[in-house]
Amino acid sequence: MNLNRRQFAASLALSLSSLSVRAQEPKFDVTRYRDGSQAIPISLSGFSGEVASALRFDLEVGGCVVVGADQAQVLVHGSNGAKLEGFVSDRQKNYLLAKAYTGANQRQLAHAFADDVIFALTQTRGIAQTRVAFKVKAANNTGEVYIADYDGHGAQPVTADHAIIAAPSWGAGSQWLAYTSYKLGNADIFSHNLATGERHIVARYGGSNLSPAVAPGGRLVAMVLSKGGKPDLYVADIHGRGLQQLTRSREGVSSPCWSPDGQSICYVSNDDGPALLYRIGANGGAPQRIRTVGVYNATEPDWSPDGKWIAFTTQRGGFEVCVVPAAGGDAQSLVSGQDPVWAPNSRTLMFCKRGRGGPLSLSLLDVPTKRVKDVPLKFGNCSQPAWAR
Amino acid sequence: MKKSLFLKLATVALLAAVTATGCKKTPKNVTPIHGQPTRVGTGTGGGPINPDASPTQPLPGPGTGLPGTGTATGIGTTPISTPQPPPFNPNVPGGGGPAGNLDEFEGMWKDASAFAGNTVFFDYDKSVVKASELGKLQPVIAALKAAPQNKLLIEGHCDERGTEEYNRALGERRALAIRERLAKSGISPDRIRTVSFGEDKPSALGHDEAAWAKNRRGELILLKPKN
Repeated sequence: MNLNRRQFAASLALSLSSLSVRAQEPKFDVTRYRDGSQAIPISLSGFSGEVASALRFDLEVGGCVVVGADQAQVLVHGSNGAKLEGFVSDRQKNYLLAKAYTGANQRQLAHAFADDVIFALTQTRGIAQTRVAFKVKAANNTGEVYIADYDGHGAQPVTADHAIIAAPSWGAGSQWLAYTSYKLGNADIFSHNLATGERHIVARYGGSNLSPAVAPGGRLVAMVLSKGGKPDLYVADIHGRGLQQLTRSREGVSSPCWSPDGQSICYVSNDDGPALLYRIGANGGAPQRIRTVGVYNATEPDWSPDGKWIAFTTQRGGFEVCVVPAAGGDAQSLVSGQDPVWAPNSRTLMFCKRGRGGPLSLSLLDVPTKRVKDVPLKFGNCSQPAWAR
Repeated sequence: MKKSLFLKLATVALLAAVTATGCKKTPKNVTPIHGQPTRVGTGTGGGPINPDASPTQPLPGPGTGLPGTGTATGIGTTPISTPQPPPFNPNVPGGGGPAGNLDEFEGMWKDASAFAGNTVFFDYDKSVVKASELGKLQPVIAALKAAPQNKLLIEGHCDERGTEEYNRALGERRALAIRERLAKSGISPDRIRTVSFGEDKPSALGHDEAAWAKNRRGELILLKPKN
């Protein structure tokens, strides 16, 4: 149970104030760093081994920068042995967090502490305990679906088909995945129960069945089916029933993603020439253009969980990861790379980059500070990340 | 006075026009893919191919995919729910369940050599069949007309530029564009199937325009009935 920060700090301040005669430094102000534009300077001490490295990774991704104790605004300290004891204090020795963690392996304890640190410092939810799914491609372009901790650790394959696969999408509660697989000789969409290993067909129509996107709430799947003669946007339930065609495009659509309230779908269409973003109601209706001013094309959109932003890929020469306000507007290019996906904190993106003529890899982008951190994965070609929410 | 009358007439005319044409028009050059029974619901019954079955055995379950059987599907057709197939276990070597035999497609033999010289190439980011490519389709049309028992599978491909899912859809658009052309020349669209491989099956492995031009293609695969 987390100690009430104010009570603790107040009682501590009360007991310390009578002792303190030095000039008063301001108490750590959690609102100062909330917009994320500045990294929070912290010192990190007392931890060792996996805990230290996991903690450091998590806090750097979460918007902190690890500096020496004299430059730090916040001191994160403690110890890891049989249990993990973690403390967060400011320069005035006000305690923002004091907590012990047991009952899981070292990395998991570290991630739990890291999330509490981030919450104490920013009042926002951390992502240190989240998971991602992605595609690992072999040299012959067949691939398997993998899941891992967001930091790349604990990666394990979900499939063993040696088939071409694509576009994993998480189901509700992170219990299942939808993805495209050519295992049966066609591009078909499967649902895959991660606990039991059972798979069912969601769409195996004539033509190609592509790009599944599970809706928030997990009851519906949006997908691109060409059974009507063009790749168009369809929605069905997770068993594939109740299929509804939402678009009737001239040139075809691709890569749908849902708004977090489940009311709209953003997708890519070439009907106006280049690949551009559109939105349509989950029950159909007239598509509306989402303007991306400043870029010529936009593909692979992903809608932030807080509803405010759409991340996407633009291509001019190379690929660039961009964001645009969800209602449309000026597009902002952030980093070289493609296929961004939002973390649950609506602040971090995972995306894919290609080394010079070389393999695909995954990286994390902190949108406000534009800092990039590579996800350490031992596999050759990792792409198409999806973040469990 | 005249203006308001004009406006009223214009509004009536507009409403009449909208009502007459309807709101949901299928765009031109869009031909639904009929003949393939929908496989949807909690399972696909007929979808999985038993790897132990000899080639002469029909596929199990409803909807074998052979011409003339199965239910036509199109826009607005209610999906058919079929019994649940046995679950796949990805941890069992070979998948533990039915695997796709890659020499077959929908119960027919694939012959990639018959039209290997008729691959259609496309411009960058385009799915229009160029006039200069149309000649390649003539022998294919003639062959299909001469052998009505055969079908065609068109595989759409892209070069490596472009993002993955966009390329997957673009490959399908290319295959569908070729299909439209063949349908215009009198081949029933029920005989033509499409699949996209996006950028996953390049025919040339380089990273320059010479290689890319070879990868932006639609490959025509003859499908012959088994018997």
